[in-house]
Amino acid sequence: MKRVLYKDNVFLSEDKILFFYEVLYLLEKNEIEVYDEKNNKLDINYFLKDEKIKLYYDIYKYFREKGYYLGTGLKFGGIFRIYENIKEHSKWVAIPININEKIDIYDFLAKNRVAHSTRKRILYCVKDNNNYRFLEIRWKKL
Amino acid sequence: MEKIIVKEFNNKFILNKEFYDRIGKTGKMDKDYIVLEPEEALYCIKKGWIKLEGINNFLDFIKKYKNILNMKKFYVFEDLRNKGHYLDIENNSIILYADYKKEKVLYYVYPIYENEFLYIKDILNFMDSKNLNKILLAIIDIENNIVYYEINELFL
Repeated sequence: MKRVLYKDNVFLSEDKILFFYEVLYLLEKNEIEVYDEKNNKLDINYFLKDEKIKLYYDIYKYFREKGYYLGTGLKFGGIFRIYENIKEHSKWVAIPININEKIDIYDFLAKNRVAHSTRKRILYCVKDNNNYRFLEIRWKKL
Repeated sequence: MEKIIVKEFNNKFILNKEFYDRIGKTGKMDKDYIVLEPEEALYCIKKGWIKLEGINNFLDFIKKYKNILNMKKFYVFEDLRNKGHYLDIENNSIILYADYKKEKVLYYVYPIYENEFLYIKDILNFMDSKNLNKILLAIIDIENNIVYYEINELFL
């Protein structure tokens, strides 16, 4: 089984940084093993103790298991970019959010401006207990 | 042109239906009368189309009816109506129609000021209460410009 090193908050395989949430997914599926620098084996619960990581991972897993491809959304102001078709540009910039959270309007506009200028749409992925709802945002000229 | 005299009744503003075109097809028809919500009446006062007893101008109206006026709704109504859209104000909602016939609803509008927070739960409750998959978010900035975003619920 493939061994992955967890160091400085990233996953390393030899000299390469692996996509964080994909490593968690493979870890949950027992397809890889993760160790820290002291050679302690880490299970997925070690990472999911962090509520933000848990929220983001839940959304990652939801889409991945439905056949979407996800990458980091950092350059577009979000958490993930989501592709419906890997041969095309990504369609959404996903922002996972708990149902009780609030959104700063300045942040909302900034994210949407970046998404619009790169021909994507912001997708708020709302987690309500174990249910998910998806709100796509589109600038509207009236 | 002489201003149309309007009467207030139970926080609504009433005028004869023959004036519907003169007030830009604003308000709801109720048999012989047009019924205006406070924000619609304020719009008509600002336009100089109507007058109320004891009210000389826009600010008089705001002072007298401050407890029933929702200025966020007014700003959105004014902005969209001035751009040629047809709207109604109904209870807690602003309804944007496809045209003057007011038969086809394009959006229910959710207004918010730029210095407020957008609560996800409030948005979802607003959509659920009207059984909507999409709404129009109207963000009113501190210069009274409004930017609009469609919020569309996807079932992925």
